[in-house]
Amino acid sequence: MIVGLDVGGTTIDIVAIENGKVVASKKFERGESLIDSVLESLTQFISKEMISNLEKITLSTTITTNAIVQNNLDKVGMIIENGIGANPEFLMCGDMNFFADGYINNRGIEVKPVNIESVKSTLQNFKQEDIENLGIVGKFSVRNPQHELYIYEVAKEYNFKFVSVGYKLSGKLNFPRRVFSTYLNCAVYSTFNMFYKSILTFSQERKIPLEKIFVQKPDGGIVNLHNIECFPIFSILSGPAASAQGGCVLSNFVKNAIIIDIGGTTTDIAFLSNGNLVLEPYGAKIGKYPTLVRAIYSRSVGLGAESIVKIVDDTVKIGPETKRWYEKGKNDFITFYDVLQFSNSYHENPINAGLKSLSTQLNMSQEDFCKLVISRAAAMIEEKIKEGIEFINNLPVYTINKFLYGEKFVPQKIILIGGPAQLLKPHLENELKIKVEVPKHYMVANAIGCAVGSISKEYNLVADTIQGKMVIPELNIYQSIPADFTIDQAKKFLIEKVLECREAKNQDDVEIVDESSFNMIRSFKFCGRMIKIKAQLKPKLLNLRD
Amino acid sequence: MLKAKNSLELILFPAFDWRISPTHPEREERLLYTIDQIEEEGLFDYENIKIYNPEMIDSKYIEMTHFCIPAISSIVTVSHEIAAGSAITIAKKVLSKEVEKGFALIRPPGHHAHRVTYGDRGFCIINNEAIMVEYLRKEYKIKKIAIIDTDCHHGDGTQDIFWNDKDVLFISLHQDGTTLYPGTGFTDEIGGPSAIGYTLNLPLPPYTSDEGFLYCLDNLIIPVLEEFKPDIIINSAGQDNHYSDPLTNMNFSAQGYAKLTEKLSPNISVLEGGYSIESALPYVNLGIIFALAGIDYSNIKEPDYNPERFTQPQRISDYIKRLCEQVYSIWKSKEEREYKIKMGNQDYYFRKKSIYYDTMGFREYQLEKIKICKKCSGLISIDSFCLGYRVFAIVIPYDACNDCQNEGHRLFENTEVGDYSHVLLQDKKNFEFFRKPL
Repeated sequence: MIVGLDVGGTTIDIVAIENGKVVASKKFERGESLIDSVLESLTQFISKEMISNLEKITLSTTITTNAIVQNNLDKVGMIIENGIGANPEFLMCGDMNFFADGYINNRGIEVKPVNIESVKSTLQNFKQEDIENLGIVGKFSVRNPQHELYIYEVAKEYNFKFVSVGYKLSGKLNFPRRVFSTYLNCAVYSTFNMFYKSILTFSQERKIPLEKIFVQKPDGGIVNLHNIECFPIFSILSGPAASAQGGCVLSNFVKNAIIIDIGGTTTDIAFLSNGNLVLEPYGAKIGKYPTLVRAIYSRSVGLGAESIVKIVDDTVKIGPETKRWYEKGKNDFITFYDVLQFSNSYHENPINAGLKSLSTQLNMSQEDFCKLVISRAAAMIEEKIKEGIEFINNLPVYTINKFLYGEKFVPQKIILIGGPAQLLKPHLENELKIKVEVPKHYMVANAIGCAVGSISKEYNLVADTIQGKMVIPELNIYQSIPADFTIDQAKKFLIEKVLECREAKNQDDVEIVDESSFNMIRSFKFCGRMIKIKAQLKPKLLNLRD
Repeated sequence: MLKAKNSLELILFPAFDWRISPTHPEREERLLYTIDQIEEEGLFDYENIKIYNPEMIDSKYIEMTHFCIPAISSIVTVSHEIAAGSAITIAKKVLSKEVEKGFALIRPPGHHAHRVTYGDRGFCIINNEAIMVEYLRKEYKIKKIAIIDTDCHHGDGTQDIFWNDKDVLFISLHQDGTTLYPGTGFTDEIGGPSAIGYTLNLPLPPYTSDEGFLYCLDNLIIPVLEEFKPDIIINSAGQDNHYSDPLTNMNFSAQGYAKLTEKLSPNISVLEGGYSIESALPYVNLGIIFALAGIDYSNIKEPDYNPERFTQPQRISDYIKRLCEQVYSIWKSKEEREYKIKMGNQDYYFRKKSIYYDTMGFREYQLEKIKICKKCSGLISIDSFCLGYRVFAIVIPYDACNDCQNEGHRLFENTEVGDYSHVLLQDKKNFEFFRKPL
C-alpha cells in the first residue's frame, strides 16, 4: 500500500492506494500549525493494518515555500566566486556576502586560483555576526567544483551549523540561479529541519521505517526524507507537480494535454507534451528568486472556488480575493463556486441576495450574469493556456534537425481536476472548444499524484578529451578519461554509474534526453572532443486500474 | 526578476548539426562556448531579454537579393536558409517594436555573398543582412538604412549589392586588403554613379587595437551617421578583430567590442565571422549582448587580457587619423562627384570584376553596366561567366524611373537564352523576379 498526502491552501488530502486502486481517501481541515495538522491527519488516517503492508508514504507540503514567502528564514553568509561577466551586485542575497577572487572557465579549467586568505577572514566575520549557515558558489563550478570544495574544506574549521555548496544542487549552467538556490537551501534549513525531526519522531513512534517516507519534489519526482536533509530546497512548490501528476495517472493516456487543477484559491495549469510533463527550462521561481530547482512548468491564475465575484467599473471581476464558506455572513457576497452551482442548477435554493444585487447592477438576469462570470473565468484560464503553448513551442532549438522536424505542441484535451471540476467541465468545454475530461477521484487527485510519484533526477555529463576529464555533477563524479573517449562510451558510463548508485533499477529506466559530440579544432587540426549528455530517470507513474 | 535597460531579442541558432568539413574553422563548435557563457550568465532570466527561434526564409527574398547560379536549390543549404530567416525574424520583432534591439547569433555568416552567387565564398553563400534589407523595404517601407560592417574581413558582398544604392549607407572597417582576404575594401571603393560616397571603406593596419577602432567610430562613423540620419542601423558584427583570432592580425578586445556596440547603438546586429571560439567569442558575444541591452559590461574581460600588451603604436594612430580625414572628405564631396558624373558625357558606368571563390577554388568574371540616369539610380545589367555558365542578369532598382523600368523589361525580352545559360531579371520596383527559360 502507498499513501500520499498533499497540503493544499485549505485542506490536507490523503489517499491510500493498493494494487492500483484507491482504497481510502480523506480530506482534513488545515489547522493553525502546519506540522501539527500534517501529523494529526497522518495519525488519524494511517491505521495499524495499513502500517503492516505499507510500501511508502509521500508527503507534499508547503512548509518551506511558506517560510520563504513569509520571510521566515535563517541568517546566511554567502561566499560567491563570480569571475567574469555581469556586475555581481545583484547576487547579494545573503545576510552577508563576500565576492571571492578566482575563476574557472566554461571548460572547467582554472584560470585564476581562489584567494583563500580573504575567504578565511570573511568566514571569521560571518561567525562574529552570528551567521550559522553558509553558502558557497562559484561560476562554472558544475564543470569543476574544485574551488567550491576548497572553500568548503576550509570552512569546516569554523563549525557552521549548515553548509551548502552550489554544484551539488544542479548540474545545469546558470550562475545567478545557482547562487539563489544555494542561498535558499541554507535559508530554509531550520524550518525544514523542524519538519524533518517531527516526521522522524512520528516514524519512530509508529514504527514506520524512515526509508519508506518520501517527500514530493516540484518536478513531480519524489525523494527519500533521509536524502533530502541536506537539500531542503527540493521540498518547495510541490503542489502543482502533485496535481499535474494526479491528472496524468487518472486520465486516459494521450500524448499532449493540458492539466487544470481548480482549487479553492488558485487554478494551476500544467502541460503534458509528448507524454511527459513539461518542465521549467532551468528551474522553479521561488518568491523573488529564480532557482535551479527542477520543477514542472505551470501557470497559475488567481481563480478558485472561493474567489469573490465583484463588479468594478461596470465589469465583472473574479478574485484574487477569496472568502471561505464559513466566513460568509449574511449572503453579502458571492463566490465563483456559488455562480457555478447556480448555473448547473445543482443547488435547490441558490438565489441569494448577493447574486441578485450584482446582476441588477449590470441590468442582467441572474442566468445571464452567471454566464458572463463563467465566460470571464474561462478567458482567464485560456489566456494562461495560450501563454503555456507559446512557451512550449518557443523553447530554443539548437539543431537544424529539431528546427525542421520538431513537432509543435497541440493539446488533445484538458484534464480537469480539483473540487469544482465537475461543475466547471461543461462550461470550459463550451467556451474553449476542446474536450474536457474529469477523471474519477478528481477531488483528491493531488494526493494521488503525490502517492504515485517515483524517484526522478537529471544527470549532465560533460567530457572534454583535450583535458582528459569528465564531470557528472549530480553524481559527484570528476574523473579522467582517455583521449579517444567517445560519445557511446560516455553514455554507457553514465548509465552504469546511475545503476551503481542504485538510483535506477535497470538500464531502461535511464533515458538519454540530449546528446552532442563536437570536434575541437585548434590550428585547423582535430585535437579532441567535447561530449555533452543529458539523461534522466524515466518517470514511472503507476497506472491506476479504476 | 532582472531587467535590462533596453529590451533585446536574441536568436541563438548555433546549427550544432551543420559544418562545411570536419576541421573547417566555420564549424559546429563555434557557438558552443558562447552558449555556455550565456547560460551560465543567466541571460535567459532577464525579463526583457527574449530568445526566439528562427523561421525558414521565404525564397522570394533570396531571389530578390541574389542571382543564385545555377539555382537556389542547388547552392543554398538549409543552414543558410535558417540563418537568413533569423535575420528576418529579428527584423520583424524590432520593427514591430516588440523589442528595442535584436542580435542574431547565427551561423553561417553572409557578408561575402555578392549579388551574383555561385556558391561559398569566405563561408558565405547568401547575404543575411542584404536579404533582411530587402524584407525591411518590402514589408516595412523602410527607406534609409545604414549597415556598419565591423567584421575583420571586408564586407565585399554587401558592398557589391548596395554599390549603387544611396538609400543604403555601407561602412566597412576591416584589416586592409593587402594583408587579408578578400583583398578588397580600399578607400577608393566609394559606390556607383548614383551612390557615390554611400560606400565607405576604412582599411585598418594589422595590430590596430581598441583605441583605433573607437577613434574611427567617434571621428568618422558617428558623424556620418548623424548626417545620413538612417531609419535603422544594422551592424554586421564580425568578431574576428579579436587579438586571439587565428585568421586575422588585429588587437581588439571584448571591452572594445562592447564599447563599440554601445556607441554605435545598432537596432540590429547580425553575427558574421569570428573564429577564436574559445578565447574570444564567449566574452565578445557577452560584451555585445550586454552593451545592446544596456547592462553594465565593465566586468567582462578575457581571463588573459592585459591591456598593456595591446597598446597601439603611434604610427598606427597617426595613420588612422589621416584615414578618417580622407574618408570623411569623400563623404563630404559626394554630391559634387555625383553631379560631375551625371553632367558628363558618359551614358554608362562599367565595373569589371574578378571574384575568387576561396572555399571552392574557382573564379568568376563579371562585367557590370550601370546606366547613368538623371531621374533614378539607373538600370543595372551584369554579364557573368563562371564554371561554364554564362549569366545575363538585370536589376531594375527600387527608385527606377519608367524609362529604366521599361528598358529593363525590354532587355530581358530581347536577350536570347541561346547566348546565355541564364537570363534573369529582378524588378525591385514591383518586387518581381523573372527567369528564362521559364
